[in-house]
Amino acid sequence: MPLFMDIASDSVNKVHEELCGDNVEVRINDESVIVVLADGLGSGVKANILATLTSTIAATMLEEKMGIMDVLETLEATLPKCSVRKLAYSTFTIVQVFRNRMAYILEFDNPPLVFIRDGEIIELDRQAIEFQGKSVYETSMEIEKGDIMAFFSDGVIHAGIGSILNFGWQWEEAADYLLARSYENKKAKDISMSLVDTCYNLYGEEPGDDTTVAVIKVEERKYVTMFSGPPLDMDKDAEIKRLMERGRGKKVICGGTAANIIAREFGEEIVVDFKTMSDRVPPIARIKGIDLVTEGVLTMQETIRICDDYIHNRVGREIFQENNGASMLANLLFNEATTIDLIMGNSINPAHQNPDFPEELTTKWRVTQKLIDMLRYFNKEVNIIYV
Amino acid sequence: MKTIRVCVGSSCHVNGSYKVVQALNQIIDQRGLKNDVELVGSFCMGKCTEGVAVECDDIIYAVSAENVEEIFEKIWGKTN
Repeated sequence: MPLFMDIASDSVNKVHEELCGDNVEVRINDESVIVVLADGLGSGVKANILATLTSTIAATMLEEKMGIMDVLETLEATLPKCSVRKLAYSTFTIVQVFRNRMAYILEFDNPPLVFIRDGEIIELDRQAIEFQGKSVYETSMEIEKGDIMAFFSDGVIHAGIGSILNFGWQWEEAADYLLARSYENKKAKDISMSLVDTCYNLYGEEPGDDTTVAVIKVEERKYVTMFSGPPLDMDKDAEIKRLMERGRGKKVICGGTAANIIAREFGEEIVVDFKTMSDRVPPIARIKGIDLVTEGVLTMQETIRICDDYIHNRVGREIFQENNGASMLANLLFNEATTIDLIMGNSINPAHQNPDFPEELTTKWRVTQKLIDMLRYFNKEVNIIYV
Repeated sequence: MKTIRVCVGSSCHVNGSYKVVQALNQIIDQRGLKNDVELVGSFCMGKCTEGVAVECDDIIYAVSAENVEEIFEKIWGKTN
């Protein structure tokens, strides 16, 4: 079975800049996963355009199976020349991981990629390719479960220059920092967020350069089968039972009516746990054979808020450990799943016709869609099964 | 022993089932009925539009934070 790539990236902009001069492009398809990090020369709009062009061209061409020399030539011919420095310039790192576990890494002038395996930083077997007087390094290797590939723009290793640290921290220190994070068994997103936050602090909250980190963590697939929303056609309830029984991994039900259907079809009791009830989130319930049973829209809405808070407000991991349905659901989907099979019905819940019901929740579909978008933003694999 | 089921589905939650559960717990505590009344939760009972659905002895009441005491009297009064 192919391994799962947990991919995340984070950036901070150079101080006073509205646009980031670095760009990360992620492509996931049936054959491979492609991540390109490009750092455009300079900063602001110009750098942003250079970086966006570079990463998009490289990702698209590789996705279409073009050779690497073609990619380099296209980049050289396409990028506008910088009027200040008379150079067409954007540094980049490309990582492409194929389904057969072969990884292809191409590095051009970005700080070297940090490759962590079995708790150590390993040296890559880099081969230099000469291209128009510049050296581009390529590496082909097989990846293993637990590998971490972290690559970043030079803003990371310049962090702290002239303020906290005289010469910034060097590549070695940044790599050690990543290595230390790798022991904490974190998600790619945790690692990329913590490195960028650390750089931001080293810069004294006024970054002297755009700073971007991309992290790929190789994981085994972990499945969750989630049933949300009963089918329109009541005759299909038996089919839901079959789907849930055959479902992969942990089983989750989001929605009161959905829970009632499963309990009835399985002949099990629903026991509501009042201890998990709060003003914001209805309580969870227990059904034998199901790992988590929550109410639907309100819980999902809160789950989305929790993840949003985690990414944008840096509230810390404790938010996933609270004793309520939304926190449990967030933890299960964000931390403990790579692939989510979502069984979705489209019946209309009379509850949502209630005029007192908050407007943004009037359709469960809309909230579910938001949840799916968020999971895809985390590069999770989401399969939707309509019933 | 009486079992009172309170709906904690989406609509009832919005209508205040959290407050109703708190109020019912308080009433049961105050009257020392811990061993006589059991409070349990339930997902949707299909009475979403009429207030928090509370069921006892196959009768479903529409409850709110305001009339919870009154409804409790009705339920409790029937047996005693």
